[in-house]
Amino acid sequence: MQLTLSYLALLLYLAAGLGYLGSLRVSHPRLLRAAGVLARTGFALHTGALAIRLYQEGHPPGNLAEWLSYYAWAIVAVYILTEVRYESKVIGSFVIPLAVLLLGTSAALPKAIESLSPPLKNIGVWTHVILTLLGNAAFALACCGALMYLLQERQLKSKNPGVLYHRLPSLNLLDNLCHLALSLGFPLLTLGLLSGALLAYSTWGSFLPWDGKQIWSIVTWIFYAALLHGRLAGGWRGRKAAILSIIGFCGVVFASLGANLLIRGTHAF
Amino acid sequence: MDIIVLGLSHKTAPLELREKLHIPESDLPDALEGLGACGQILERMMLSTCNRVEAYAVVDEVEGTRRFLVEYLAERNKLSPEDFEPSLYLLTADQAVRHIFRVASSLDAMVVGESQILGQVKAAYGTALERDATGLILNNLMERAFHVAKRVRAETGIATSAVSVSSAAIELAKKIFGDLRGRAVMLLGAGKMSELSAKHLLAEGVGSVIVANRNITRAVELAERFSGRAVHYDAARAEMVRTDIIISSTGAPHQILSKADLQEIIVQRRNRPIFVIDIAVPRDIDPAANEIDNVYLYDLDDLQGVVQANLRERQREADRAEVLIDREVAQFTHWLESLKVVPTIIAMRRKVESIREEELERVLAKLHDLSPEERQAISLLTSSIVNKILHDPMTELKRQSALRDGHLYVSVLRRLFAIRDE
Repeated sequence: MQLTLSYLALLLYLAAGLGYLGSLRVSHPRLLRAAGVLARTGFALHTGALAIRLYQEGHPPGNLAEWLSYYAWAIVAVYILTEVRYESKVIGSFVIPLAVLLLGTSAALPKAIESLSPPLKNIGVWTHVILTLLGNAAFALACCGALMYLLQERQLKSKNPGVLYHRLPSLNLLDNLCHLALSLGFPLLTLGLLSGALLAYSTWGSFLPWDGKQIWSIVTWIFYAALLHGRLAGGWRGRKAAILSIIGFCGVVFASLGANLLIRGTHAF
Repeated sequence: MDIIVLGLSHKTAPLELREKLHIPESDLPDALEGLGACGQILERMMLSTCNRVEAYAVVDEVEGTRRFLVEYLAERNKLSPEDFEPSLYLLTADQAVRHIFRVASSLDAMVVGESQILGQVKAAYGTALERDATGLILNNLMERAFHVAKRVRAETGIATSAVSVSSAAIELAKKIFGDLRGRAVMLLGAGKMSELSAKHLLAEGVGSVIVANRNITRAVELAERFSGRAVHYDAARAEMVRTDIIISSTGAPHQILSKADLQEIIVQRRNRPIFVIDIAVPRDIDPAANEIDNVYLYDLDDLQGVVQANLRERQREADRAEVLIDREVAQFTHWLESLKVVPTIIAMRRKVESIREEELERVLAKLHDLSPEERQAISLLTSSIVNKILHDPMTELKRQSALRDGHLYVSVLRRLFAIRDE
């Protein structure tokens, strides 16, 4: 059941994504609205799928496939909130395809969970996972905003505006979006790291087990701390901040996935 | 009965000719009456703007009407038909409907997507309506045209982008800053063009305007008009740190701001973006300044480039609008076809009924000793026969009227049964 719901959600996200991308090319308010409805419906189904899984299995994401699905969910959730706040639906044309990519990959990966140590099924783990998930979703949003900023900036600098010039929102909005996302993501990441450290202590007796994931997460944390500081105190805004946000997100992606695939550690799925 | 469009526009005639045929608003009622004199014209309205003079009409016969209209226009404007006939176009049936929809939607305008034409068409229709010059078909057609124009504006991007240099500048400012309210504007030099841009910016709600000029009196004069401040030219540099939008149009023969100047300004502004519009010739600001992050420098050519790009965008959207209009034309034509069948059916029934009554009366007059029930039975018999005979043809006629050749069926029926037009 939950698998069917997941696949349906993926299809709806895909349709929504195509709708959003289409509306970049052609100015059609109805298309944009339809894409929004599809995305929300997909989200509802996705929520249902995860809820059922949770009820049946009762543990936090135990393998890469599950984790990607939760991540996609978090990103869409954050995006829907953004649409409400900013009224510009165009952001969807970047965020939704990302969600499709994540959920699609999730669907393609093996569903089996190798081994689940008992300590993993407690509230501490859940807190850590949720905080990290939301933090990462916020950074994903910041990255999308930054990408859009760079695209719009290129349009404006080139003096030869194309279709994107009209469809994308203003640089100011995109910069604010990026900043907002970073301001939300950083505290979440901080809490995520702290909860992770506490968890590590209670599970393995040490705050810093120094596995690949934790190391990279700390590196990422330092990076974002510098970025936020730069934005607030050093006047790092616009292009520079955008590029750094994208680099930061690559770090996040690496911390979540790459560190597992390349470096063996206790954090591995 | 045909819908026709006869006229000329900027696409077929130069300004000199158009202005000769122009009908001022005050003369419109007169012109409508003049057209009313022609018996072939059942419904009419006239549209006369700086870019077109057109007559929309519902007529009995096309060629006769055309000749009448040409003669009327020639006589009214003291011209000879040869002077303007080559520039005239005559459209009928769904071509006419399409043209009217396109004109109302601003697709036939000099600048596609312009907003004036719809109001002008509505005004012209209003005048014709007041004078009872229109009827069922033209009323429906024009109402439909206004609806189509609304759809085109709402569902395509045909009117959303800037196609003049000053509005392009505003559009760019909005793409950089989002909301322009509260932004600080500086005018370097006090020329006509910068005045115009400043006016537009004020309309968008900018917070403050500073005018910097060598001639301080001129600066004060301009600043007052915008409820702003005037500063002497030399003090302008200091103010630039607080300025979001600079419009530069000094008459200086050299550059007044170098790349280094702007680099310094942007650092002092802590990278808050700055939009510089350089409309001076020769240019006031070093073009290389555009390379600086968060500095957006546009000169006249650049603004023109944006306008061109927007015009191309409008053209793309116009193509989509044409598709929308095609569908609307089909719908309207469908409705028009259905109109013709109703009076024909009524006329048919009436004719047949009168024949039935006549014959019934005649035969009953000869049959003296019939009981009331028997008279009734005979009457019912005639009704029944007539209804059954008519049933299939009427049903098929109604069905055909919705299809493309419906009008042929209607014409043939009218001819075969000798149904006169009322």
